[in-house]
Amino acid sequence: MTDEPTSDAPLPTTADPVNGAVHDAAPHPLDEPLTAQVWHPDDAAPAADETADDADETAPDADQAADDQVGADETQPASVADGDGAPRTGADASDEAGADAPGDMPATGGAEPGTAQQRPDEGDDVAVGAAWDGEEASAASEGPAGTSSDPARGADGTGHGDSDAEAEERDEPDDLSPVQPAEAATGAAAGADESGVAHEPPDADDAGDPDEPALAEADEPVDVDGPSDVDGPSDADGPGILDEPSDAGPPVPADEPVPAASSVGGWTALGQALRPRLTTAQLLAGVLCAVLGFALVVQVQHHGDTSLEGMRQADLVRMLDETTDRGDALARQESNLTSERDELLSGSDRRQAALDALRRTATTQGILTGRLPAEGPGVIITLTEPDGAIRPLTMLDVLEELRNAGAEAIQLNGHRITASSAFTGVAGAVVLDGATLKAPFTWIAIGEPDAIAPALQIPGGAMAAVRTDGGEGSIARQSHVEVSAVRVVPDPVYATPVPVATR
Amino acid sequence: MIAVIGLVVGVVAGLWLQPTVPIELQPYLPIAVVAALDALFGGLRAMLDGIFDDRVFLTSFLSNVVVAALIVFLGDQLGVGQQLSTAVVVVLGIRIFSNAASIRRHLFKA
Repeated sequence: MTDEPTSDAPLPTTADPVNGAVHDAAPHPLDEPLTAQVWHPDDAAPAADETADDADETAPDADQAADDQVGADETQPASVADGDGAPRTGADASDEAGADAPGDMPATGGAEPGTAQQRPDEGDDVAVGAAWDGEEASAASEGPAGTSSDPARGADGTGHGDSDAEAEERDEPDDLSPVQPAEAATGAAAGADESGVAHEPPDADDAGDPDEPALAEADEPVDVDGPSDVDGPSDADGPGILDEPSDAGPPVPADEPVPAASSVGGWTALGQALRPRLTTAQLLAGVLCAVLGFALVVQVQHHGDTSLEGMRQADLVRMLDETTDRGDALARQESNLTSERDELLSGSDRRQAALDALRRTATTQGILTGRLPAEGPGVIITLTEPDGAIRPLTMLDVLEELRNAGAEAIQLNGHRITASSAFTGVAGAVVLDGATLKAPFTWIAIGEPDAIAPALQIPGGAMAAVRTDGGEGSIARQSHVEVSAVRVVPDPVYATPVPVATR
Repeated sequence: MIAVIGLVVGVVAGLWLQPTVPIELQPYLPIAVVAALDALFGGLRAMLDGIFDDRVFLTSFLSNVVVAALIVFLGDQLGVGQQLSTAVVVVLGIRIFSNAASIRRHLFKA
């Protein structure tokens, strides 16, 4: 893993290393924790690579040597070595190097190992190109915590001569390397903070700033330095390094979380974005969203009650045309209905008039034909036969005289006189319409009394004829007489009405 | 978060105050609201893309509203108000859909 050294001043200047050695060589790039920057000079990189490779090669040997030494020094190292060996067996060279790092993790101080252990995790998450096996590293680091350093050192010491020198170099760089991770940890404001916590500082620091620059910076270094960084922190110089100034702290944490956020996904970014921060951008967004919400609600409420005032001219013209058309249609319908009503009314009137006329005609005809009884002013004539019988011809004269005088309804002894009535028989037995009449004869005639009475008594008139026959007659003018006798005339058998000419 | 709070505050204020819209602004208010929604979705997408800039958000918000209202006003003067209003709403809707799709891809990886 060739690192792209992004040199940082602070590191070379730090004269802290526990060993007191001057680190002209930049800390092993692999030693660096997940820090994005490789603040080692260029020299450190190749040396770091070589040392890393050597460390990989000597790892198995170191394990065995560690076992030997562990038995002498401590009991734990044995388990530690086993722990280290286990992950290493299946790991690649880079993995072994990575495994070495946790194995080499300094056991100094509680916070240091804790943070150092965390870094491999971070490095695992962040390092894109590395085949780092985080589980192995963490397992290895957790087991040998504190004790791995001894066997590792022992391994380094007992390893190849090259490895010794290089291990020392590695130690020194390791001394330096933990500085940055330590600083990063301190910068994260907590010794044993999780990788997630490391995200906090960047957010606080970069509040409001665009994430892009930090992203750009973080991506490249992290990808390259990830695995190497994991190897770095495993150092016994942790505590001393922790004391170092945190110059590299702020930039490191700033870079760490950003790549993690992008790699984690949109939900994390959304969560970070939603975290309330008092910045101009957030306030501005809040104000704009308030305006938007206000306008939205107002528009929704307003849309419920639309009035003509707010409509466009084209819409209003269209509505006017529609309303006008509808008005015309209604007017036409009204006129149609009015004419129909008038027609119906007049038609009923005509019918009624016709009915009335027919009724009157029927009544008149009934009276005249003897079908209906009648009443009105008239005369009552009484004829007796003191000295002889009245001939039918005389009766006929009386009837003719009455008709001539304008009598409209005539009744004789309870028999109605009709148009077809005829006197037959002989004197003394006058037969009227098949009915024999006997004296006295009582004539009831409805008409003008003052016209009928004198007409009967003119010299040579009907009354004279009655006196000639030996009868006596008396005429009584009445203001109201009643002809109650009726005679139903049968319908003509031979006569048919002449069809009425239609006008 | 403050943006969400601001949105809620604005909605509550609108429900509580219940103002009447001036007659002159009535045809343009819905267009302005849709344009502002488009700017809001654009800002949300920019935030998820990691390229959010508050200045860009502000200018896009205001310019969207102003330009949309101007277009509709111009259309009314020219006599094609209805058609231009429809066109503006269609375009804003397309942009909203595009931004929403991008947001969806960020959040659900699908």
